Amino acid sequence: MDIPSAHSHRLRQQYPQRHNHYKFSDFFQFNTSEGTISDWNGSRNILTSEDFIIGLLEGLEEEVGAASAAVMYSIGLEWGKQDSLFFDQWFEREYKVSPQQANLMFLLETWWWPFTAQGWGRWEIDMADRTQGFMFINLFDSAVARTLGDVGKPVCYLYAGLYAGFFTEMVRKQLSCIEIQCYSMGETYCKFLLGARERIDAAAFWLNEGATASDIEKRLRSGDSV
Amino acid sequence: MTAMIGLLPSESETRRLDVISVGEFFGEINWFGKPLSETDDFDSPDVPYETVGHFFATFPWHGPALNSAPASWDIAEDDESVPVETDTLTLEDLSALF
Repeated sequence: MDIPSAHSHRLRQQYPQRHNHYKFSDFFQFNTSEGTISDWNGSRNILTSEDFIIGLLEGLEEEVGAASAAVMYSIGLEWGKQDSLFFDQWFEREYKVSPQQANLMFLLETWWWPFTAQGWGRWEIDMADRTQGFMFINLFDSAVARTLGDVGKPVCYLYAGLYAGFFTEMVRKQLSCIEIQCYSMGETYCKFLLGARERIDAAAFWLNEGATASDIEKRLRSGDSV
Repeated sequence: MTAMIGLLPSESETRRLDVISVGEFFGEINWFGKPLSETDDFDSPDVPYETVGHFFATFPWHGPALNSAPASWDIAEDDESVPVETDTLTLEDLSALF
């Protein structure tokens, strides 16, 4: 995904009030004369192969070693921040209500639907612990994890950064995110913890010490800190 | 559209072939919850289900061993529904929690 394209979506122009537009043939517009793909919101898209994802991650790791995780997180963070601004615009344009006044779950589901259509996977937000200042995001079919397969460690740093960046902008608080369970660790889905930086740092410490997602959840709920 | 409807088997043909149509299948559900006759034999395909909930309760969701008995046909809670308190949150509420 790139900055909003100059291409306006023809189907959207035809049906401006339509909200169920996430079918592949509806959501994307293939501008064959220019070789570009734009989506319903005017965002530029590119198609990539699994080889591209593997090449990107392995190439980066070869260049910067273990810092590749931080680089991917930073890319995701910036992406999330930029996307929150973009989302602000198209959400208000489509639903005629400010994101700040919208129903939270509706808002968040609306934000993620384009990502689902683009192949980034489905998600589920677990806000049961929100009063303690953290929440979990379950991601199914992570594009990164399902490409890399079972490598025995978390690999979805791009997503963690994306969530951190988006929520930081949306709630106007500095938030961090960490993947505490990953499909690439042999799990059935990826699980992210979102919260204040000190809490995420504690979770990162426990994760490095060998704690499982379940262990981390228990420690957070009991108010543990490093 | 008219031609497509014309291709559908008539009710008598359907019955003769012992094949139930989708319309008949859903017709067996007592959508409006009308009181049933004295019989409580829900296993009989000729008896409409009392509610949609009863209909789906007959599905072996967890395998045949755990299939619900008619006596336990309570309305199941939907695990995926959003709790009421979550459903009324806004971004500002969320921001205040962090």
